[in-house]
Amino acid sequence: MLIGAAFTIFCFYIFTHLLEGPALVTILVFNLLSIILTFPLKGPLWCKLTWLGMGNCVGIMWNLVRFSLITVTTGIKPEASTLVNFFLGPATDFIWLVPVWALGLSTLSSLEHRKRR
Amino acid sequence: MILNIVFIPFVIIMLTYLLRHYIFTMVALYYHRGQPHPTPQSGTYQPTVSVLIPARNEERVIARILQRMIELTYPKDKLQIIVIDDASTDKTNEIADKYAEKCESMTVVHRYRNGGKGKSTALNEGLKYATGEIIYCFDADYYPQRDIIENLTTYFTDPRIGAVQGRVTVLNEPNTLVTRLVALERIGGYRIDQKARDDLQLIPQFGGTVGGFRRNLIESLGGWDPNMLAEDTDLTFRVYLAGYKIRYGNEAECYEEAVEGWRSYWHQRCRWAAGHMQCAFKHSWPLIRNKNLRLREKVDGFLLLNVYFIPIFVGLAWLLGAIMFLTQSLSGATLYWIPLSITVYSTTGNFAPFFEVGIGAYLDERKEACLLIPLLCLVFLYNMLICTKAFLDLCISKVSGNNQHKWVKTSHNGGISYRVNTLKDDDADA
Repeated sequence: MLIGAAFTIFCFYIFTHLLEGPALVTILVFNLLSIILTFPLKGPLWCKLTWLGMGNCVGIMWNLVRFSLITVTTGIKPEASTLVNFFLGPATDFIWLVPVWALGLSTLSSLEHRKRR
Repeated sequence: MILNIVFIPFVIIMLTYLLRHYIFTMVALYYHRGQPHPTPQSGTYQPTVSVLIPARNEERVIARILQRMIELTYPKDKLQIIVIDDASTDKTNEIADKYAEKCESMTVVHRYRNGGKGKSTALNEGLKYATGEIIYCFDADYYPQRDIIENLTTYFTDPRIGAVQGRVTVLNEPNTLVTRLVALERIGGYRIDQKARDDLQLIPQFGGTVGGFRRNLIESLGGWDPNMLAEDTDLTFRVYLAGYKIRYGNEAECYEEAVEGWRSYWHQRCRWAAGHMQCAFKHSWPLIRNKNLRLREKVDGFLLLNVYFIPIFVGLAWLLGAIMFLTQSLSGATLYWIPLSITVYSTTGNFAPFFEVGIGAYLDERKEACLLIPLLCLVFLYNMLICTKAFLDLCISKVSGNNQHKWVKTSHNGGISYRVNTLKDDDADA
C-alpha cells in the first residue's frame, strides 16, 4: 500500500502540471481505489503496480484526446461544446476508469487462482 | 446561491452512501470473524421446522424445488413442508399433489377461492397450517443446498435472533446479459452488503425467501402484511422494532432463476422499488424513535430504507447541475464541486458501486464476472427510470387514496434444468 501511495503522490505531482481539475480528480479516484482496495489483496506486487501505472497512462491519454476534441469543437461551437463537455465529461471518464480497474482486478484474480491450482 | 444550497445536500447524501458502501467493502475484505460476532457452529440444535413454498402458476419450476425438499438432510420427523397453491390455473397443483403423495411430511394447501392476491396472503394461509418452531420460506423457482436448513437453523440457538437469511446465487447466469448483470448485483448485495451488515451487527435484510423466522415471533407480529409490496423489507424492520435481530448466513446458499429480459427486470424492480419506498414511509420514523436499537443500527436501517430514492436524487442532481451551469457563472470552487460529485455519482451507482461488486467477485473467485462490471452503469441508468416511475406511482396512489397495489408476478421458464443436474452431480461427489 505504501509503495502504491508513493507512486500515486509522484504521479499526482507530475500530472498537476499536465492536467486540469476534473481530469485530475478522475485519475485521483482511480489511484485511490487501486491503492485502498486492490493493493491489500493477495497477488504479486508487479501486477498491481503495472495496472496502476497502466491506469494512469490510459487516464492521461484519454484526457489528452478529450482536450483535443474540446479544443477543436470549441472553435466551431463554443457554448455547445462547453455544455456537452461539462455534462458528458464525468460519464465518459467512467468508460476508462471502471474497465481498467476491473481488468486489473480480473488479472489479479486469475493469477491468484492459477497459483493456487 | 439558493441552487448551491439545494445542491449541497444532494452531494452529502451521495457521499454518505458512497462511504457506507466503502465501509462494507472494507469489512468484507478485512473483517476477521470470531471474537465479536461469532457464527454458531452447526450442532445438535434441531427444532421442528416448517417450510412454506408459495406457488402460483409455477408448473415449469415447482417439481425441482419439491424434489429438493425431499432430498434435504434435515431429520424428516422434524420437517414439515407446506406448498401453498395460490389459485394456479396451470398444472402446479397436480405436480404438488403428486409430490405430497410421495412425501409424508409434505402438505399442499389449495387456495381456489381467495387466491391470487399476492405472496403475503399465500404465506399467511400457509402459516395457519405450520406446526414447526421455525418457519422457512422458499420461492418456487429456488433450489437450495441439501443442508441449508441445518446451516440456517443453527443461528437460532441465540434467543435474541428472530430471523435468518441465506445467500442467493443466480443459477441461470450464462443465459442472457440481464442474468449476468443480476448475478453481479447479487454478488454485491449478498457477498458484500449483507455479510458486512452481519459482521458489523447492523441490519441484515430478510430477503423474503431463503430465510426463516421463529414461529412465535411471526405470529405475534401478525404475519405478513398483505398491503405491503415488499413484505420482506417490512418484516425485517418489524422484527428489529420488536427487539429481535436478524443474522445472515453466507454459507447457506440457495440458487435462483433470475429474470432474463429487460421487461421482466423492469416489472420486478418496479415492485421492489415501490415496496421499499412504502416501507421507508412506514418505518423511518418508528426506527428513529426506537429506544432499543443502537445508533449504528438506526443509521444503517435508515440508509437501507431510503436506498431506492437514491437513483432519483442522482437524476435530480444532474438536472440541478444543468440548471446551475446554464444560469450561473460558476466560480472556481463550484466548478470543482460539481464535477467531483458527478464523477462520484457516475462511478459509484446506487445499490452496489462497481468497486463493491468487483471485490465481491474477487472474493468469490469469479474472474470473468469482473469484466462485465463496466456494464453496471446501464443497470444504474435503468434503475433511475424504474425508481422514478415507482415513486410517481406511489405518489399517485397516495393522492388518489387507492392503496391496493397490483402484484405483478415474475414469470419463470424453468430452462435451467441442465445446471440443476450439474449441481446434483456436485452434491453426489461431495
